[in-house]
Amino acid sequence: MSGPLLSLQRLEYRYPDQLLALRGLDLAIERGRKLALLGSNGSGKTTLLLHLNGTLRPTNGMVLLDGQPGRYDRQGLNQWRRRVGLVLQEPDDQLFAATVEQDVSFGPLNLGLSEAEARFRVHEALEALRITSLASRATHTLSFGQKKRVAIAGVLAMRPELLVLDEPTAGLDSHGVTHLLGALQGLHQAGTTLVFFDARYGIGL
Amino acid sequence: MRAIDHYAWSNRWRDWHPTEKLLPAGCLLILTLVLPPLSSGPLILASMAWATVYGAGVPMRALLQVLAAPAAFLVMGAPFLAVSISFADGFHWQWSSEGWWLALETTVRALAAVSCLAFLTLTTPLTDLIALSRRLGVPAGLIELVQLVYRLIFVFAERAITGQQAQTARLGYVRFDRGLHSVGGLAGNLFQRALHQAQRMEIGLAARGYTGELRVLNTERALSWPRLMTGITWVGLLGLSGWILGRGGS
Repeated sequence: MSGPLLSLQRLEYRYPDQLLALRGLDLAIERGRKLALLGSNGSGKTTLLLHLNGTLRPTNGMVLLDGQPGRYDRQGLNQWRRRVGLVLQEPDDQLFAATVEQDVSFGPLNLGLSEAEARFRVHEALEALRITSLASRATHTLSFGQKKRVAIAGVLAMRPELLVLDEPTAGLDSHGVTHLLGALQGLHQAGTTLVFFDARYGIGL
Repeated sequence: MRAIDHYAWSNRWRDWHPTEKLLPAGCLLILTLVLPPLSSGPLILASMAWATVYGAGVPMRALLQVLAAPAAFLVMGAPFLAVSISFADGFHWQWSSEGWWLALETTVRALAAVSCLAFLTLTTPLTDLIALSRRLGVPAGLIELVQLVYRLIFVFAERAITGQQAQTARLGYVRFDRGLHSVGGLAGNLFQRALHQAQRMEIGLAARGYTGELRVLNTERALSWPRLMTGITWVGLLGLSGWILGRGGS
């Protein structure tokens, strides 16, 4: 299919407290691209990101998936989120299960996969982020960097076409950043479209 | 709590099927309630302590720490059972020898019961118990609640500790009144963060297709019949000897 995977047209978002966070925003995310969106704190990065998987609904303007307006009913959102994976900035906001394996299996099971298939997806995602050794660890015993990778694996296991990451390198040391970017590079080469949000310039993309 | 959790995840019997631990410990718990406590209680207490320390390899110190809190309550509470009070012509109280026996029996029985639970919590990761209760038909809503609480306890404990350290660094606990002020601030802050956490967690879960059910894969553990039968035989022997000793005593 040609045309952008996801595009935003004249996007405007006003928070319930009337704060205008986004205005007149146009963006096209082409298939197979690797896109970094940079902006300082408070510039509306996270607000924009929450539009990409339909969490927030624009006050004005449109979000298009494959050229079709995004649907905000339950079924439409389910379809949307199968294709667009979202990784939050703070891994503790995302990891809810007691062990790594359990947490990563959550998304695949929600896709309606069989247990065997889900188990395979978990293994595949952990492998891609080179954290297979953490599989049976308790979530709360992980370091921040490990949690971050597990959070990404949890989304990756759903094999999204587009992976959106909110400040993936925030809070990581330089070794962690190198490791993570290497893993993301691998995903991109395997065909996943990537969108990063970051507050700092010059992260080694 | 961190210590309990640590040993539950790292002891030698961690990978056993939870039934192999739950069934004997549960049976012994029932035995402490039905058998005469003074004969069976010490036997059960000793065997549970033995299983925890020599079997599963949990340090004795950790076991004692777990038993310390309930034991302290017992030491404070039990003597009151030995007091008899009468209100006939004014308030009178006296020690009664029957009461002493009752207090002793209650203490021994409670300690034995607590040792069964301590064995279970120190040797079995909570996830195994959750998986088992799911199979036993505990409602999904309740299980999800336990699962989330188990995860979030550690998130909030970490924040509470960091918050308190930050307050201490600014001399928040320099005097009693400042301490009270700091604790109040910390509690309010944690509450607010808990609400935000809930909102963001909902976004994170929804992004992974959450539709009202927290289904996850559970690790399959193989049930070892020899181990289970050994456990049950052990329980049977303890029950029998407790019963015989109890009969001989009375």
